[in-house]
Amino acid sequence: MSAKLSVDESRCTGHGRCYTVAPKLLTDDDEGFVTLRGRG
Amino acid sequence: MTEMSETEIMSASGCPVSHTDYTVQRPLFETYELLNAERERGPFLWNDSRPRPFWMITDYQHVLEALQMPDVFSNEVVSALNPEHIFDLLPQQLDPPEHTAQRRVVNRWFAPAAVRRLEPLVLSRCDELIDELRPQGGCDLVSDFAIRFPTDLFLATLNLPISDGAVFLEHVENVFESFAGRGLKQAAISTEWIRGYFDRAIADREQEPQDSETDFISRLLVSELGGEPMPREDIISICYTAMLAGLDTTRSALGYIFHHLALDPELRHRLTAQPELWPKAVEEFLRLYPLVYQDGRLVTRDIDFHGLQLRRGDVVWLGLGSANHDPKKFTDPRTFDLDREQLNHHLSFGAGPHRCLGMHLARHELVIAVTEWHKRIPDYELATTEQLYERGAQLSINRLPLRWQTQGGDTQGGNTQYRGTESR
Repeated sequence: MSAKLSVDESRCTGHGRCYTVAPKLLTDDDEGFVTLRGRG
Repeated sequence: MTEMSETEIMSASGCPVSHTDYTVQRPLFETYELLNAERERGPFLWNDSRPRPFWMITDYQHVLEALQMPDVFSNEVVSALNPEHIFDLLPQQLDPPEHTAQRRVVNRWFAPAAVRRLEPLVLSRCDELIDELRPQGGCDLVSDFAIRFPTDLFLATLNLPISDGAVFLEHVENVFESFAGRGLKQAAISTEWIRGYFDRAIADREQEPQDSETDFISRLLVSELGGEPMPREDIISICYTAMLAGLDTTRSALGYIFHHLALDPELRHRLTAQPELWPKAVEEFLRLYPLVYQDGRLVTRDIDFHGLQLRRGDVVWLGLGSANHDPKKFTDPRTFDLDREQLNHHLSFGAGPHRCLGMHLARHELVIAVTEWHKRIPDYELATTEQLYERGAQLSINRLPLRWQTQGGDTQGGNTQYRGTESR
């Protein structure tokens, strides 16, 4: 069984909590919004 | 505490009544004592110390929940102590969706990536200041270091000349004085000066356009909200708000942190030996010493909030400070504990849509300041036995004289006069 993580980028408000807590999965773009690591 | 009587309740609500006036200067740490005592009286209190009384919400879970309900708790009021606006704060005083739109424009300048780009400047400015102070064998940490550092960085972040720092600071201090409801006239004059300063910065950019990718004010000038350019007054208010939010809090955090470290050599030595622990230590200091210890909100509709009957138009105090010390959330909350669980769950930056815009920058500045300082001045002590005080309304330690051994072996007391602005 594996967990799946997706991000609804339209709802991100750029607080930076998630990529601070899970830096291996998530990272920040130049504007401070979240993006999934290992994608595009 | 003579200001509280255990028996008084507000008859209509059954809530305990608090007469504590949180705007007054107090001996260092007394505010936390009062906040904790009030939380122990109950999750909700009625405070009648100000011209407009307000409900105090004191428990961690309730405070967090309210911060995440912007439709009920509006930012039309942002301080329970000063519910009437003395000056515009943007985007802070807006509610979603207007807040969300404006916040998206400014987020970029305070995002982690922007903070990382600023790092060389933060480091070099920090090192310059410490190298200047080190041979002196002592200083007033508050005026000689803690305020100069963020002021210079604020100006640099906005691409404004660092050399304007000294005169800027005088006016900023006048505004902070008014948080406690004093010196309002002088604060109004200084607010006009600061707004005029930003107005001239805008005019400079209109005459000589700068790159809106790298220049904050230029970016605001080309931003559109709902198809309209941002009003000039709003651009000024955004700059003014960033300045108010960024300078005093960083100065104050450094004051409390260095006070703690001066009195705890064991912790100081551990952190100096293991500098990789500084980010975690700063986070725990942020929890232990909240400076903005209340967020005000205006109730938008009648609601039963966990048994508290709130009416439309009521002012509430969301107790960020008492939440950080709530034993239901943090074990042994008054103790500095580097290994505590959920150490970053503190509310010192608030929560919800208005969570501090500058928090990444603030953390970064604080971590660099303590790291660089202890590389150069690992040992120091308090240079006074006099009582220290904290400003009310938004906490700030008034002065922190430190002394240390210089290579010649002499130590000197911290200065006795305020020289933060003159010596620049």
